[in-house]
Amino acid sequence: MSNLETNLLSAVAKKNAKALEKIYDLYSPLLFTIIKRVLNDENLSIKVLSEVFAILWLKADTLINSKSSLYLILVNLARNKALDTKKRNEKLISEPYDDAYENNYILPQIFCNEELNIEFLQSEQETIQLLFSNLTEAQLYVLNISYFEGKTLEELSKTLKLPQDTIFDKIKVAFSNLKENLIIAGF
Amino acid sequence: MTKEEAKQIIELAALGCLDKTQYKSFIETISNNEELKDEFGKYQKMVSLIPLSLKIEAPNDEIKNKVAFGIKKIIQTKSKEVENTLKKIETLEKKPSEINTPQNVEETTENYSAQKNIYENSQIEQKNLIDENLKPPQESDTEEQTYQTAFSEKDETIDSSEKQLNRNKSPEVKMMIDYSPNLKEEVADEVTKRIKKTFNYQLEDFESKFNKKIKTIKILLTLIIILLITFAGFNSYLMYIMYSDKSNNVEIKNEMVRPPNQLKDSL
Repeated sequence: MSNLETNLLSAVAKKNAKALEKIYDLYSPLLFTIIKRVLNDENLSIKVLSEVFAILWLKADTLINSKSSLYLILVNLARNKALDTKKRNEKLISEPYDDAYENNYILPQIFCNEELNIEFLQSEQETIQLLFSNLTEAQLYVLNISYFEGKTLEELSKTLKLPQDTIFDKIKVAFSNLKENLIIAGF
Repeated sequence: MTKEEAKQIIELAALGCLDKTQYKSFIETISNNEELKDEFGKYQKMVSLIPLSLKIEAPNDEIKNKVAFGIKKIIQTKSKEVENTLKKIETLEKKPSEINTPQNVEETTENYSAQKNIYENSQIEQKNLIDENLKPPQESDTEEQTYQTAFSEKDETIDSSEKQLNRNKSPEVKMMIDYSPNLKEEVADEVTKRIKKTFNYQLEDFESKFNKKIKTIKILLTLIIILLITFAGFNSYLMYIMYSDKSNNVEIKNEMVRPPNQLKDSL
């Protein structure tokens, strides 16, 4: 986590609302895009975005201990929260939403210690989009549907009417190509 | 799950394609292996770039206001929940305190005072923050505008230049997030302590009541045994009387049945 991000998150942990606003200004476009892509509903997305920032406000001291980049924390937090809301609306999750559930399934467990700066990544967005466009249509489709719809391999197999092994291979090849392209692009 | 199995499904785990059980088992396996953790971290980084392949849509000011309003509501609800829990515990504590020893009563009172102080401080800080940040609504302000231009300004050290830029864009209408700073971990800890304490008191109360009941039962059993013994004694006494009466009667009958000759002799 960069110094600025650490300072911001520490300030949020100390209940500094101005720091929360700063994080909102930096991250809300990306987080809102993720949430809206998952839920496909603007009003619900606004509600979920509020919930994401409320979690950040209330659990900043827990999140700061993970020592991972704020970018990774927030992107994963927003995705987890949006997918959970979607599945609850579809009545696919019956477990009650309480503090323990939130800690186990909504707060992300990040193992990446690399610094990812939102401003840098946004400035490089075109390059990143180009890297993704180098993947085949099928690979891109599988990555998108699994990431934004949170489907398991079994569910993907049912949805796409393809054997699980085929989908698994597609994901592996997609990651392999992406990894190569990212190294070439210097990420 | 073995390390090899975990390595096989590392991409699926990073992409979120595992069910909860599989994912939990996967995390347990990799958490003891630095190499797998690093590998998984790299995949997490790649996956986190997927959203950047989308066209980013910046939420407008209206959405910002709604989000700020939403955050405020959520935090208020959470604060109320904590407040209600405190009240419930307070009610629960009243009864057990009656059976406490003087030392325990002191402890409870201290605990309660500390808890009360934390809560009162949070209320004061919350009020200060409102005074500090919330400007009185203008005549033209709607309810939503009152909550506009979110997130109070507590620390001026953070980014004053951007603040200036924002000022140029929109009129100066401020919104604060209504929160209770101390109603978080300290309160949660206190709540846990108090729940434990209350539970212990209730347990003690239950134990003393249980012991009293056992004593009463013992006394009752002793009384019943004494009654039974007395009854048995009385019965045997009655039997004895009846038996002796019967033997007397037999003797009288025998005398009455004696033939006259024998009666004469006997006379």
